[in-house]
Amino acid sequence: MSDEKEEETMDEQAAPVDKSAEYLAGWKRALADYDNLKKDLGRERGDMRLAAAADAVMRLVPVLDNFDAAMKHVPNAAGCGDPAYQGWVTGIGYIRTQLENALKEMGAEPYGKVGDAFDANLHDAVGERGQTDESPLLSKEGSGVVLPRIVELVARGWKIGDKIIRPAKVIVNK
Amino acid sequence: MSKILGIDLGTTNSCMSIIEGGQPKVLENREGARTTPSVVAMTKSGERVVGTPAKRQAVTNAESTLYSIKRLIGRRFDDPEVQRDLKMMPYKIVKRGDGIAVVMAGKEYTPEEVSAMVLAKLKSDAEEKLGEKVTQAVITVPAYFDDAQRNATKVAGEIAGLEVLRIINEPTAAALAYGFDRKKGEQIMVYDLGGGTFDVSVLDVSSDTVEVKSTNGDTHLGGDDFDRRVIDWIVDEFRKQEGIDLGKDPLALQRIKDAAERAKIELSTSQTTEINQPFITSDANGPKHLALTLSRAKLEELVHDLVENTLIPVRRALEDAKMDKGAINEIVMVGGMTRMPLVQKTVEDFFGKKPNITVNPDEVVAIGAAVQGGVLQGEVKDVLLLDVTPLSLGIETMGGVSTRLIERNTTIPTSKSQIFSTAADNQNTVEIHVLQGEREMAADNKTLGRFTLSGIPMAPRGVPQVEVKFDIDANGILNVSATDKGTGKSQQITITASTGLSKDEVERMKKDAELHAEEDKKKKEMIEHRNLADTMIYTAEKMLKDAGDKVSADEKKEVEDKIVALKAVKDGDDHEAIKKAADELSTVAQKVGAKMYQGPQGADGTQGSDCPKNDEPIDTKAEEK
Repeated sequence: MSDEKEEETMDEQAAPVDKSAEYLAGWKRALADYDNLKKDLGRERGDMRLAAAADAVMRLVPVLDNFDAAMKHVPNAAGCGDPAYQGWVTGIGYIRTQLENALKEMGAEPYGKVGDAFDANLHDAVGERGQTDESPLLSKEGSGVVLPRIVELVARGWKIGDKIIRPAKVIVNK
Repeated sequence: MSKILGIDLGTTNSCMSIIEGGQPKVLENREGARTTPSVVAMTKSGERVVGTPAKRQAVTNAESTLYSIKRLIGRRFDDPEVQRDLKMMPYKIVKRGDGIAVVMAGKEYTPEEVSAMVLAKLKSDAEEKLGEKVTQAVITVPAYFDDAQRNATKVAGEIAGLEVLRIINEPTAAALAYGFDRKKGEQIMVYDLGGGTFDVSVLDVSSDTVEVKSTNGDTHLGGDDFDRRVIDWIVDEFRKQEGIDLGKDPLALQRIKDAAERAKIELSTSQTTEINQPFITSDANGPKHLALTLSRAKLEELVHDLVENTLIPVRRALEDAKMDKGAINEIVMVGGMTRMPLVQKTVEDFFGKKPNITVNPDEVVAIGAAVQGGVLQGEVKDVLLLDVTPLSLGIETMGGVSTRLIERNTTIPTSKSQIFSTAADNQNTVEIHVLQGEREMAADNKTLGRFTLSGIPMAPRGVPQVEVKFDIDANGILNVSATDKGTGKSQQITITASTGLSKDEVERMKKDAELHAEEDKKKKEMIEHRNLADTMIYTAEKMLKDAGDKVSADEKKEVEDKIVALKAVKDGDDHEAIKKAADELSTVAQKVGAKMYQGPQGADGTQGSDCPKNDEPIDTKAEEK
């Protein structure tokens, strides 16, 4: 009984010191949390700007892809010798370039070309195909291992800085 | 104290979350995505990749790309599940002892090792994001997982270098994320429709535990099946229109797959969507375009049997739990597919109550795991409860407008100050009328107190600078001070009852504000026009005085006429008339101002329009009423 009582009094005496230490720790933690929050916010603001740009780029890139598809399908037979038609096609080509430049001005740059080594960090493989042309395949030095490389670029990749906005869609060799 | 990572190790995607400042937060992976594909691959160059890159190279490397490993973890080779996957998976599954191993680039790995690769990526991405080591985790598993599967999951965590503090059930985690573990005596149904699996669980929340009463589901039903229906529909429609089968063109199919998924997601929020893929293919007649409109109604028609079928496991789970559907208190939705309005409606119609879907259904399980981690760590309990001001606080400014300094819901303690000025020439006192409430006009808000700051030196209006500072301490005691920056003279008032309103009072004041928002806004705009007119008259008069002989009598007369005209309308209620008169005055005053070669100051009205914003004149007795 007496022991318990003694302990209680000791607890009571210790309490204010304990509490103040606890409060001080809590206060320091709160200040640190706030400081960290400020840093996080700064970082997040940067991320958000990038995300907003990425979102805008992501919406426009498919339009450019389709312009590219359209330019590939210009029917040449009908166009020959008709200057009005030729002029119209050239104009559409300029609109395509304008869109591409707008994307570049937003900080985005296209990448990817046939012959590049396939890199899953940059490229999205949508298919593979047996190699038909004669050009040598890339191989890891000395290993003799044949590395996959791009044999057809279905759609170019886009990035802003180091951030991949859309991986290039590619077909690689078998 | 290092963070405990909450991990939802999913069949198709995984997600991770932590507790920060007492609140759960989903961590993005290195690629910036909130979920990570549960895919592991060994590339042909001998590099091991996990997550999105692994998924991207799958086509080229199918036999060394491992996915859906969760279907295999902790199983024996002769399990029917394994035998079924044996035929379906492009990678090799072999017998190892009683258990199994999978083959990647010619080497055997146990499912634990493969899951560990996913977990290790999550761990290292979390560490990169947090800037500190992460060593402990709570990992979720389906409620139907047996001991062997749970144990194997735990082993996977340990291989990844994580101390697995707890393995918890996915439905329990979802309930935790909603805080339903505190709803003693409630029965909860968790409806989890993910990318490739469908699970339902009935939970019983008793005093200290959340018990899983029953589970049911379909291991091969999910969002992918919904996508397939849309893809088939698109291919069919195109065949009808153009007579070409896109199903045989892998590149076109890829584009259709992306478009179908986007359309499905879009139709969760809109009624129709365009599927527009120009130049999808070509034949002898030239290029062909895919252009279709898909309505929500059509989508629902395409998938309604899939949704309807989810009710079969729901009924079975209720039967197994020996429970009537009426006994379910809460329904929790998990998995991206539950965003589909038809799914929500079907569940709501069945139970006769709205399901819970406010926590992101892709993240709710990971969030629940983090909450469990927080409980283990004591962080969730440890949070210091911070109070907020229930209503906005401010002072009355020119025209009886209530100008807010501290917005409602601001966490206290806090302080805020703003510089105000006088509304009249040679005004030597300002009255600080402290207000509480959301209404735009001072008269509609509650007066907390008032005091006067006197002894301001004689000066034209707008020149003196009076700093008004609001400070609320942690106990809600408000201290308002006003200091004349010129003389340093200061006055203050302490209001102890600033947050002492009853809940009803606060609610009523908030409702009032909502109710009168429109008319208050109009009233405030009116006052703003009036204040602007006032300032313009003042500056124009001052300009004429300053100009002296530089301006001809005719021009002076013209400005004076316009001043009179504006004065005549400025106190009326026709704000169009005020605006017109003010514009006219501005035009003539500008002409005169230009003549004076004294720059734009005071003549073009810009100062006038800025003035009430930056240096809002404090209302005075002389000015008002």
